[in-house]
Formats: sequence, structure tokens, C-alpha cells
Amino acid sequence: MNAIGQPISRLEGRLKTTGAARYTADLPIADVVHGVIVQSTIANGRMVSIDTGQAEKAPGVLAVFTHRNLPRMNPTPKPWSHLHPHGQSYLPLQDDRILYADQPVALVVAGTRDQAAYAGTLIGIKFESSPPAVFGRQAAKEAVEPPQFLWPVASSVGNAEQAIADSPVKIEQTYSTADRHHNQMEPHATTAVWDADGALTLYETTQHIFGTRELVSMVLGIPQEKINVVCQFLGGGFGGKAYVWPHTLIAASAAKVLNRAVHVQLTRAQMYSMTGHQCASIQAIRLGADRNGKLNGIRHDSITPSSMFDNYIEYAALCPRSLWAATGGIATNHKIVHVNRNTPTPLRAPHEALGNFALESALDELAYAIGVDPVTVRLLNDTEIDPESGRPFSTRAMRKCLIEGAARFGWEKRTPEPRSMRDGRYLIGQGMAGAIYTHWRWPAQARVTLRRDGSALVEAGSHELGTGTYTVFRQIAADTLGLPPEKISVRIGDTRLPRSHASIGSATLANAGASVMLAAKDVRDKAIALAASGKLVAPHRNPEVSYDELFARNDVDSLVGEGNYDPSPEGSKATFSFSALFAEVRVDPDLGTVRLNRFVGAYDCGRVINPKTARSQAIGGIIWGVGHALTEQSETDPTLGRFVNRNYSGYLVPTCADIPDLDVLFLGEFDGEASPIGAKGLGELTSVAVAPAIANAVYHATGKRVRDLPITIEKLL
Amino acid sequence: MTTTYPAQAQSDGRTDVCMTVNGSPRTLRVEPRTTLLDALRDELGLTGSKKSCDRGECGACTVHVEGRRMLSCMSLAAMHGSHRVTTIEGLESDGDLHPLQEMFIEHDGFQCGFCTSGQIMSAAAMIEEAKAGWPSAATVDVTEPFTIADLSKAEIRERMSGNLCRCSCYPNIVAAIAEVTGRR
Amino acid sequence: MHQFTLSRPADISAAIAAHAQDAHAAFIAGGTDLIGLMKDRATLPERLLDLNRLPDMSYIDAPAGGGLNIGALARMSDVAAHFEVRSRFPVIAESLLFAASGQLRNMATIGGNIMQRTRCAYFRDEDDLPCNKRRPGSGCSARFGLNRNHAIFGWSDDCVATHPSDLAVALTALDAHVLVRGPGGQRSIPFAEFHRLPGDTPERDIVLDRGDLIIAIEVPARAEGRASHYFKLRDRQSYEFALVSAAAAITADGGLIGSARIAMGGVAHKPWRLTAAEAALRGVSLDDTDALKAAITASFTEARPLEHNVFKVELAQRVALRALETAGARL
Repeated sequence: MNAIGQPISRLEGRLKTTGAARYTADLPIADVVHGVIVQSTIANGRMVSIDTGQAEKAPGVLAVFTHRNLPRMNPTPKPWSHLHPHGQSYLPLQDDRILYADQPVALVVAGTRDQAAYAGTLIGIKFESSPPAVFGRQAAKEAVEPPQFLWPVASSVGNAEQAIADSPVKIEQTYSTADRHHNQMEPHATTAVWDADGALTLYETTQHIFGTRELVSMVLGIPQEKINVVCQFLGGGFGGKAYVWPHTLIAASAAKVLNRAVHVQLTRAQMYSMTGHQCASIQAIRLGADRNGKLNGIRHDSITPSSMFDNYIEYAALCPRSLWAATGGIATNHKIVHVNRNTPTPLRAPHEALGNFALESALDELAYAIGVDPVTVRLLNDTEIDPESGRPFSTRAMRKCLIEGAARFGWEKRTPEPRSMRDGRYLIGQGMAGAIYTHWRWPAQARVTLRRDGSALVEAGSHELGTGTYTVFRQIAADTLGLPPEKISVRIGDTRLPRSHASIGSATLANAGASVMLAAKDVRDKAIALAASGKLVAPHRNPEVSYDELFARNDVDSLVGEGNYDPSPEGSKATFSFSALFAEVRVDPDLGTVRLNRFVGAYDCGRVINPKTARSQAIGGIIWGVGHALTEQSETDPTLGRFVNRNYSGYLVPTCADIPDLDVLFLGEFDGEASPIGAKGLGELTSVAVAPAIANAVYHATGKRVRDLPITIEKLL
Repeated sequence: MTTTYPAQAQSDGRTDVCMTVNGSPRTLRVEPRTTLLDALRDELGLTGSKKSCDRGECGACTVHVEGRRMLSCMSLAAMHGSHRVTTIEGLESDGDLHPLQEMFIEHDGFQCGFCTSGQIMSAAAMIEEAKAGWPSAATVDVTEPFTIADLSKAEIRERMSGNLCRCSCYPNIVAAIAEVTGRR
Repeated sequence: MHQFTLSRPADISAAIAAHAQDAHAAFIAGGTDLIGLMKDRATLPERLLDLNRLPDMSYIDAPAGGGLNIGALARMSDVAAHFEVRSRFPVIAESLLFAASGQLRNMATIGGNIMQRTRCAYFRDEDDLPCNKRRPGSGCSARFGLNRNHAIFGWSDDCVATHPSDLAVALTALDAHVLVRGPGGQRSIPFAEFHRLPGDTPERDIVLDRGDLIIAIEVPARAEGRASHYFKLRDRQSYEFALVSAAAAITADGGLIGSARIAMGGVAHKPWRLTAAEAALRGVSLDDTDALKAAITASFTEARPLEHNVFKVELAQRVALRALETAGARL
């Protein structure tokens, strides 16, 4: 009776398909009033004056908050880092400066959302405006070295420069990617409720309840024990809800002043400036190789924009540090440019998805330069030792992914010559790429309560954002306790539960999942001890004995187990997830349209706990990659310095009609170094290297190498 | 002659609109500017229909009005007096899930679930449209009659394209619908 | 949204009278464009006149002698599904089916469809950016801003926006008529004259005056109707406004084009008729791609692309060719 490894349907399936799952904006809150944020219409300058008189007199309005009357907030510590739960260090409504377009400048609170929104339009602001700094190839020339942020900014193993210089084959190209937004279906929302004792409950759209609590505690100056953050269902996160954004701080502060529950939901357009985004990148790659395709040296330099006030680095040059062997040396570096925009933030999949586009495109260029099959080139450069750390990989099924993925795809039928495959009027292209994704190790706690009726309750302060957290926790507990999965219920998403980590970086299963397993083991051990004391065989070993009987004999109603997973930040081996991806596109050569025909993804994410939800993660990641490759870009007006296409009709995410059936293979094995449950990260991995696989397929179809994402029509005419 | 509708505007600018929601007669007290979506969510507590784009660009607010799928964010509640409105909360019958709901669970046709109400409501009406012989942009030749037997996966994909899913569960959504319509 | 009143005129005359006497009144039917414009504060009517229950305005008539008469309140989905529409003018059915989504087509009306306002992002931005169409005299942000989706024909320095309706492109090609009733009575407006070029008054998209109500669309019998096609090019497969589109309808005799009607979307402030190309196509063989291309080029000598849409000049010609060839396959 193993639940783990079974394609079990989601625990919360009925709630989600009947409309009964309550997301943040769905929760009924007594006497709630509605806040609407008013934003700056300029990108750089200051407010000379702000007139709120008319707005204050508008129907239903309770208050208007600006930098003049919102209580002062405590600054967050410098140097700021993105493992910190603050989306950006610049605090809202604290001064008259304008540092980016659509920056929050006021909050109107009224009885209804319509009343607040209308009153917001009555606020008169005079701006003093200066030309905004915007990112682009020109601005990139002014890039600066930032301080370290997550990983080291630069890396160097061996002598990459020399190795490239000495190589008979060199590839030297510049690649770029566009600004992108998470565009979760659920807009960010918060409801702040203070009670008579000065305790704050935040109903929050977050992937990080404990981080939200910490940050709000710090900024508003109230002890963490006085704050509770709740999020039981999240309508998509993708990194953009892992941090605290201005509207949450404004709402909490305003609610305290008003002594009323305040609800704020961002509009779709506001999500573009008031929450994070993935910044554009300009990446230079140099490869040196021999004539067979064996890499001697890799050099990867990335330039990305950040806000005027934070040193955010998108680690686009991270991938080559550990993906392929390059015997002579690997060197990487990052620079940033400060521009008038809000601070960028991780977006599925941060760092790797950008960098892999450049690296895997360059590898394809190498393969064509020497006339060697792209799969062969990658097999040739596969490595069992992490080039960056010199440590062996805990598990690395890259070779298997390449070989079995290629076989599933039918790669051997591909004719390598560009423009050599056709289907009627369409050019057919087949391309591939390999991917790597970081494995995170974070502490997590959980509690499992075993009840007399043979049911169990799992409790952990984790999150359900569509990844299947409820379901995999149920499976892990079921197997550990020897109970059928339907006997396990799960509570997550509340800071009153045992502390867990942010649900980011594909880390929840391996880390929070491990804490659930430990808690279940703990309670099982207690049951065994109880059974031993009563000379019984514990129920998980002997189905003849029921928990009811065991508990009754010992006059116990329930047993509680605690799980405290506290991994070392570094394992003894290098742990990453891997994949090999194969795409087939059809290109209309007259019209420049690219559509995906079919796709095979072969993944090494360690042990798969639930093949059904894992497959869903994979197809989701592939489709994110399709958007990355072909349609998604947040366009900045060069004069106004603002994102212009701030909606779903301007920012094009793939539709149902863009996506064929997708084929997914899981080829990993139990990785005990990664986690006691043997799993490595999957969600982010699946959207890494989709874009280069598609771009390489486009090259194969057309003979045109597009080095600037997205691959829009005009780039193929 | 122009009749102000609804005739009995109240002192707070709100008016009462009567409609049948999920089979029950309901009276909603709304302002003229209140969208059908806001009225369903805020006045009736039917929060299954979601506000995602609020501009008719995503489909998360899809409900049935007089049996047809519509976007409740782009319509005013006061325009729907006497109409029959069905939301996701009304799709079950006698506690039994609609076959689409069952198949969405079976095929994992959702992840975060935020678009799911709209997807299922859209699919339910889409199947009726296909049965009624409506063609689509995926129909090979619109001059030919269309029957439900022509509802291929390509047809389903096109007809479901008004419902965005950012978790990107499209292939599973199509599989769920295809199973319900008997097209595997 | 701002506050407004909503009333329901009892009949067409009452609707026209209510609109005519009130500079701040607006008609609402499907609402799928108007409500978005109000949410984005691009238009702020104080009184909405709900037309949805006006009697006898949702008809789709297919008279025995050919042609179509479509009531202004007919929904896009009903028109697209109507078998005579599909048989007589596939270009009309296709232009509707390639537009919006199933949900929106169930809501939006034919009259409202051709009155849609531009999707120019600057015009629609809730922050009230410089836009002469939104706020006359405030300037055109797109002229030197992001203008990939903007016009290559007929624009002015005051406005470079394009018209978003797919249906209007098909109706332009077919020389349909817009039946309009106003305070002064009823008139029939040739479709090509219904939409305006921006000139120095881009705030006016169409020629209607206050009190004018679209009653119906009339499509005369056209020999070209059956061999017609609407081709829509967009960056994703579905649910998107056109980057470039073309409606083509032809007759042919022995493989040679007798008459051709071509109009394009996504290229101008109004559906753009390729008049010169139509003349040049007469007598050209449908099998002679080079000759077809050469004839189409006749309409592109006057194209004036903007900074980001230079590619559209060539692309639009290829789209026109594709529409023409596909229409030809229906002969």
C-alpha cells in the first residue's frame, strides 16, 4: 500500500472544481472596507503637491492616505537581498520622491471598491518630472558591478580566456531576453484585520507566510507574535508572491489607523508596477571547443537592470557554472544597470531560464559550426563532477534524459540541415536543449496528529499555489504512517502552524515534504512505543490492530509527532535537477508565425512522489517556456519609462490553442542527498531550456538564428 | 418614452435587480455600475467566479446567462433583470459533480484552481454550442455543417482559448473535456 | 467605475430621443468594449441607455435574392453560426469566429462590434497618458513611442492607431451598408464611409452624430460572396486582436480573376480597402503567385510605416495574398 509514486488526484480537487476553495479575496471578513491604490503617472521626479480634498469628500470615502499622513515605517536592513522577504527596499508612501512609473502614491479607503476607485481619480497631483532611465543596449554600457546578492557575482574555474583563445572552434554571440511579468491569474490581494489587543491578522496572497510576518513585524514595528498571516489557497505564485509588496504594508498601516479591516486587491495593470517582474537581460557568451564539440572554455557575461534603490541581480550567467564540463575553464560575471523601475524579482524559472537560453543556443550554434549532432555535443560534455565546486553530483541523469528523450522524440529521424524538413507550406524544425536547476535546502517544521479513529492531520506552515502541496503531504504522511491516503487531512497556510519556508525555488516537496515525513515518523514511533508498552504490534505493522484499539487500551485520544527538518546548507555532494528537452515547431515561412507541434521533456527531479501532479507541473513549465520563447514581453516606452502593455490582451501568455499534447518522462531516481524523501526540485526546472529548444528548432526550420527573445513574427521575415 | 430601469432607484443610488441564480430567485441590491461579477461575489457570496483581469481578457469570471457562457466582469448586473444565471456553484446537481468537474479532477485539469470555475463553466456551454452546430475558427470549412462528432481536440483547444490558465494546464483541460465529449 | 445611471428605452424612437438630447448619454448593448473603456476611464458617460431589450433588432435575414440583413443587436455568435451567413459569405462568419472568445461573441453585438475603439495601449491606459483620441490636444504617445501594432496607412501626426474590428474588415470588402436612424430619420451609410481617418480629429472614430443609432447591417448580394475568406495573423494562435488581417472575396472565370474585393485590418485607423490592387487583379490567374503579388503591391506604394512596424508593409501584402488564395480555393 504505497501512496508515494501513485498518480493520486488532488486532495482539494472537489473544492477547486466547485468554486468552494476560498482564495484571499473570497474570504468573508466582517465590516471590511476597501482600499484602492493610486499610482504615479510619471517614472522619475517628485510630487510638488497632492490635493486629496475632493477625494475625501467623495461618496463612501473614509480616508485618503499619502506620504503626508501614513505613519512612518521602519526601513528594512541593508544590504538588501532577495532571500529577504521584502520585494523591494523602498518603502511606500513615505516621501515625495517618484522613482518608477506607477509607483503607489496614495491609498483611498471607502465602503466599496467602486467608491474608492472613483475617489482615487479625484486626487490631484502635480509632478516635477525628469526623463527616466530605461534599460537597453545603450544603458548596458553603463553597467556596474553589484554587491553579492545570492551566489557570488563572478566565478572563475581554470582559465577560460586562455582555453577559448587556444580552441580551434570559437562561438561568440550576444543574446537577449525581454522583461516579463508573472501575471498570476489571481491578482495580489491583502486584508488586514487588527483586533482590540493590537494583534494583526493578514489574509494575504503569498508564497511565504512566515516571511510576510517577519517583514511586516520589522517595518510596522510590532512583535511577530502579534501577527498572523493566512493563505490557504493561492491563485498562482511563480515567485511573484514570495515577497512583501507595497500594497500589503500600506493596507496594514491604514487598517491600524482606521481601526477597520481593510481589503486591497491590485488591478491587473497595477500588478505590473506594484509587484515584481523578471528583468530583461543582455548576455554575451563565448565558447571554445575542439572540432568534435568538446568544450574547452566557456565565458558568460550578463547585464540586467535593477531599480534605482536595490541591487537586484538576475543570475543569468549561473548555468554554465555547473551544467557542462569545460576542461580549460569556466568564467562568469554579472553587472547591473540602475533604471527607473520597480525592483525585479524571481519569476519561474529565475536565473537559469534566461541564462540557459543563451548557453543552449550557443551550444546549438557550436553543433552547427562543426557539423555534429546537438545531442552528441551534449553527451560529449556531460560530467559526473560539478565543474564549479569539484564535488560529484548526488544524482545526475542527464545522459539518460538525453538518450531516452531523444528516443521518445524520434530524434534519429531528424535531418540536420536547416530548412530540410517540411509539412505542406510549413517548415518543420526540431531543436533540443539541456537544463539545470538549483536545489535549495531550507529548514522546515511540521506536526502530525494521529487520532483514535485512525485518521491523521498534517499541519505545516507551507503553501498551496497549484503545485499540489496538500496532496503530496497527504501521500508522504500516508506511507509513513501506513494509512490509506484518504485518512490523512492537511492544514497549511497559517503562521499559527509549524514554521516552514517560502514555497519558491521548487523547494517545497524536498524540504517541507521532508518535515512532514519526520513528523509522521515521530508520531509513528510514539504509537510503536505505546504499542510496545501495551505489548501490541503497532498498527502500521499489523493491520489486524487498529489505532482505535491501541488508543482505547491506553486511554489516549491522539498522539502528536513533530518534524524538524534542518538540512545543512551544503550537502557533501552537488545537487541539481536536470532535463533534456526536445521541441518540434512549424514555421510559416511567408508569415513568420511559429507554432509548437510537439514536445518531449525528459526530467531528472529525483524520486517522483505523485506522477499526476508532477506531470502537470512539467506541462505547465513547458508552456511557460513557450511563452518565454514566442510571445511574452513587457514593453517599456522609451520616453515615458513605463510598462505599456499592462494587461492580458497586450501581454500575451499562451492560450489553449497554442499548445499541443505534451510528452513528459521522469527519469530520475531516489536522491537521498537532496532530501530524505528522495525528491529534487521540478517546477522551475521544467521551464528552463524550453526557450532555447524552441529557438534551436526555429533555426533548424528556417536557417535563421534568433538571439533575442521573444521570437516574434518580424524576426523571421 | 424611456423607462428608467430598474424603476425603483433607492436613496443610496442602488436598485433592486431580480434574477434567477442557480435555480433560485434572488434580489440583488446594486448600483448601476456594479458588474454582474461583483454582484455575484459581493452581494450573493458566490465567490467561485473570479476577478482576474476585469477586462474580458482571461475568462476566469465565466458564468452562464440564459444558458450561454458570458464574462460577468464585462456586464452590468442591472442589465440582467429576470435573467437565468448559473455559476460554478450551481453546476452540481443533488450533490453530484457535473461530469466535467469529475474529469477535471481525474485529468488534473487545474493546478492553482483560480481559473478553474471559468474553465469548467466555459466548457459546459462550449459543448452545447458544438451540439447546436456552431463552427469555430478551427473548423476546416465553415460552409459545411458542423456536428458534435466534429469536435476534435483542435476544436476544443480553439473554443477554450478564451480561458487563460497561467499554471498552463491546457493539455489536461483538453483531455478532461475530450473525455466528457467522448473524443479521446 | 464612475457613477452613472442606467435606463432602458422602450423602443428605438425613445432610445434615439434620449441619446439626442443628452451630450453625456451613451448606448450600451453587449458592453464588451464600453465597459472596458469606462473601467479604463477612456470614456465617462453619465447615462447609459440599455438597448438589449429593444424588440426586433436581433434578426438575421437571408433574403431569397441573396445578401443579408442583420439587426444591430444580433450577437456575434449567432451571426457566425447562421448557416446562410456561412454559405453566402464565409468571410463574415470567419471574421467573427476569429475575433475575441466564445464568451465575448455571445455578448457582443454586430452594431457594437463595428463601433469598437482602438486597442492602442496608450489610448486605453488608465493613467490617462498623452493621447489625442482620449484627450484631444494632449499629443500622441505612439507616434514616437511603441508603435508595432499601429498604422501603416492613412495615419496623421495626431494619431497612428488602428481599428480593431475583424468584422468591419469583411464588411468593408463586401461594400456593406450601415443602416442608421437618427433624430432626422433613417439613412444608409456605405461601409467604407462609416469609419474615419484620424486627421486632426482622432477623437472621432466614425461618422455617427449624437442621437444616431445603428439599426442594421445590410450586405447586398455579391457575386464574390461565396468565394471569400478572412485571414487573421496574430502573435498567438487565438484570442488576440489582429497584427494584420485581410478579407478577400473573388469571382473567377476559367481560373482568371473576374473581380476581387480585398480589405485589410490592423493597418489603418479604418478597415483599409486595396482598391488599386483590386483593379490590378482583374484577369490575373489565381495560379500565378508572382502576378498576384505584383497586383497586390499596387496598393502598397502609399504605405508609410512607423519606427516599429516597417515589417508590416511586406507582411500585409503576404497576408492579402494568403487571403486571396484561400478565397480562390472556395471557387
